[in-house]
Amino acid sequence: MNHTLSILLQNEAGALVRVAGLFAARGYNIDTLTVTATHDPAVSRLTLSLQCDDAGVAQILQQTRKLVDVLQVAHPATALAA
Amino acid sequence: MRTAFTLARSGRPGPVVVDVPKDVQNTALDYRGDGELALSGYRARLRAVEQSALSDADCASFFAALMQAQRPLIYAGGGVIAAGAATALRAFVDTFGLPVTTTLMGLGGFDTTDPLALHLLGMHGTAYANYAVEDCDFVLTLGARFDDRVAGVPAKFAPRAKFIAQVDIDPAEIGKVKPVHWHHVGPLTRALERLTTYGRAHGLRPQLAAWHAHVAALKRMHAMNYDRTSALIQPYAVLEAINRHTRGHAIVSTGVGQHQMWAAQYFDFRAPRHWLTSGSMGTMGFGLPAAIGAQFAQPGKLVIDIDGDASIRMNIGELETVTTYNLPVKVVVFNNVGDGMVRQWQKLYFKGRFAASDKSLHRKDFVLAAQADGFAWARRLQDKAALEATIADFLAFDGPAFLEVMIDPDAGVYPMVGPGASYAQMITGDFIPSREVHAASDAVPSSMF
Repeated sequence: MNHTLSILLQNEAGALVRVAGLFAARGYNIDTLTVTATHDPAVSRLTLSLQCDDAGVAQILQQTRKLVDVLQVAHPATALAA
Repeated sequence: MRTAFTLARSGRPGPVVVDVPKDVQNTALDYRGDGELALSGYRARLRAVEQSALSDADCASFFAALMQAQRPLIYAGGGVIAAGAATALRAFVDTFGLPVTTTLMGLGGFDTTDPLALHLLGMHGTAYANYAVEDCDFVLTLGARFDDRVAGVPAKFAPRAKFIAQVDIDPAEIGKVKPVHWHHVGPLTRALERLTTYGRAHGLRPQLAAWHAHVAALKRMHAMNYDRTSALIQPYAVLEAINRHTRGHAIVSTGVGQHQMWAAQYFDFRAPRHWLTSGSMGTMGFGLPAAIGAQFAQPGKLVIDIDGDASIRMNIGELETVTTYNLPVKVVVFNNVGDGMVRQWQKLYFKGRFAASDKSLHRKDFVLAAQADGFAWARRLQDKAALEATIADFLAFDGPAFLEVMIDPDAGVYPMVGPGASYAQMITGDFIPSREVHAASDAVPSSMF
């Protein structure tokens, strides 16, 4: 199933590779990826999508929240459904 | 740098890498001496976890399940030690009477000499701990993660448990491997104290006499044992001899391999932070540097590195550090002329192809190596009759001491729950009574590790 995650992270060199590395280490291929600036120059927004079952996405959300550079992780589909 | 230490010590503690490029190293900077990086996301999440507390409803649902249970068990991991929760665990057990089994990293979190202590569980856990896991109907998981050495087959772990509860500081550990019925993310000490207070206030005391009798019988009937009549020196006998002197009060470090598992199984651990071992992706060579650090931190304590001939080679240069600082570290090397644990797996799972695990062509003389690095006490033990006297002399020596023990090269680590096997399939070896009768299996899981 396709999932889209929205991640706010500190806008600094190396932050993106930590997120991408976490997904890669767990065997998830990122299908789409966009990084954009936000109104706060210290923060960037990363939007990515991947194929993953529901249990897997719950895990990857928790793992992404362990990254020090990550400010917020949202899974808009589950937020809407809830 | 301050932020790195904050990260290393907060939440679920762990290592942090700080990379300082050469140009930064050479730059003149003004030292300001305070302040930390913002890390607003990390700190907000940490605050939420650290402030979380068990509600009355949480406690009520926990005790509703516990009071239904006939055979409740605590499965305690390294989190008990990292959280400094051993005292709170002791009080909880004293109040409610749940037997405790610990992981490799949890050793010392609960006094192993206690009648309710089941020592280590899992792949090389005691037979009685693993049987208790098979028999229990309720599991309270404390700072443990159902890793593959404990729950090799998660669906078959604690198969009769009707209720599994989990307390952890790391939200990502809840339900990661094994679904749980009740959980709490927060500081372990506070959670245990809250549960103890709640249970006492409501007069909740599970009646566990039958379960206690069952656990005592398991401990008696399936106790650790080995070939006591062998003419060769058995490593277990050496550890028992050391344990008779130290009685669970020495700080013990290890490398990785058979010697590590034997030390975990045969030593007593009375208190936290007396067991320094590299779990998970176990790092060979950990034992000697860990012992050096421990001896610096605790100059008055007896510190023993239990090592293997392969593991000690990884960091053997540190022998010189021991004598440079005249640290009274005691180094034991179990020499079975090879990578014993690798050999054990090759024998059991890889059709006896002993590739690269034999070291009989290696010419190193460990005793000469220790002497060369300044050890005034360095001996090789190869006569079984001299075991007790040598151990006594070794431990009593006032200064760095090095003892190489030539052990039975075929000594194995038992019990063993094979990779991809359930506890019901545990093999206990030739000297620990098993309660199951196994049909010999032809299926060799040679791709499993």
